[in-house]
Amino acid sequence: MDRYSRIVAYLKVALPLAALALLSTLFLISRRIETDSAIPFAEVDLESRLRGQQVTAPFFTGTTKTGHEVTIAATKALPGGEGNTASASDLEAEIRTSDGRSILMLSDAGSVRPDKNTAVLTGNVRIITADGTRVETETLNALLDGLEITSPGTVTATGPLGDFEAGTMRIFTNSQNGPVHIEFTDGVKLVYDPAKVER
Amino acid sequence: QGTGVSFGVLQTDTSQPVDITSDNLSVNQEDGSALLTGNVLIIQGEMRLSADNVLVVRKTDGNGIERLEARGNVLLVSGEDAAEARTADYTIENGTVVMRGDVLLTQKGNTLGAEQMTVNLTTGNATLNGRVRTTLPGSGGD
Repeated sequence: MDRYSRIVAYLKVALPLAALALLSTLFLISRRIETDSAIPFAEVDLESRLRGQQVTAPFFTGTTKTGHEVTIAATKALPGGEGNTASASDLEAEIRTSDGRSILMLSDAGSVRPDKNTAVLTGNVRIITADGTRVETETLNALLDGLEITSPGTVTATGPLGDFEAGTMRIFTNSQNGPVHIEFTDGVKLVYDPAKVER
Repeated sequence: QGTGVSFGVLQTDTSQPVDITSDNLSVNQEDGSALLTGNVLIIQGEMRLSADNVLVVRKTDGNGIERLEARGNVLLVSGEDAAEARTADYTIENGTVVMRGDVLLTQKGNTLGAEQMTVNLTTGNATLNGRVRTTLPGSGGD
């Protein structure tokens, strides 16, 4: 056998071994990635969840006698507060009238009493009515089976009519599918600025 | 035709803000009309208009007030002139107040009665028409 075929025979053995060694570095020597590392979990969330029952993103819908759709949503609700009222945090209630106009109510906290069909919104309550008037007040009582929303405290509002304040406010409709009225009582002060509108 | 007379403080600029106070205000969500009831008082610059209730008619494009329709013992005071009537319609844009229903205008002592009076607040002149009558003070008057 001459030199050339000896080299070839030798390479026929050496090269596959080298390939094998190279391949094994891929698995044997490579860094271990440990797959079962625990997902980081804050203990405090666990405790607060365990302490009381809680509904996240609760959703309450219904239609009133007068044919308006009521939807109430919140980020969190804790059932059975005092007098089994469900209390919720940053509540968002929307009433859609039969002809599609909607009144939106947002508040930081609130409680819903399905047995009495009432909901009380408290904490920087903001109401956006169908014609774009934005009303702000402290507390708001809403009747869930009819359309009757009253705000006992003083109300400040801005809208197409200008900015105004009033003693109390009541949103209601007096007939089946009748128009929705908003009534401000106990003294109304309204400032309308024609210049602001023209610009 | 009508009797022309100058009314109240001459140039009231009707683009000033309008302050409206009343006992209650009811807004109808459907057509957006608003009704102020219970001794309504409208103040704009020198002009003061008071009435039992006032209907606010909105502009067709929705924002801004087109006209204020005052009903029920309406009293318009501007400067030291005063005019009473049953109804008054105040169009804010062009500053005209149309008063109807036994209008009684009192100006510095003499009074003028008429069926209807149109006051242009920007120019300050008013025209009365319909059975205009006036009472001249008797010879002994001051």
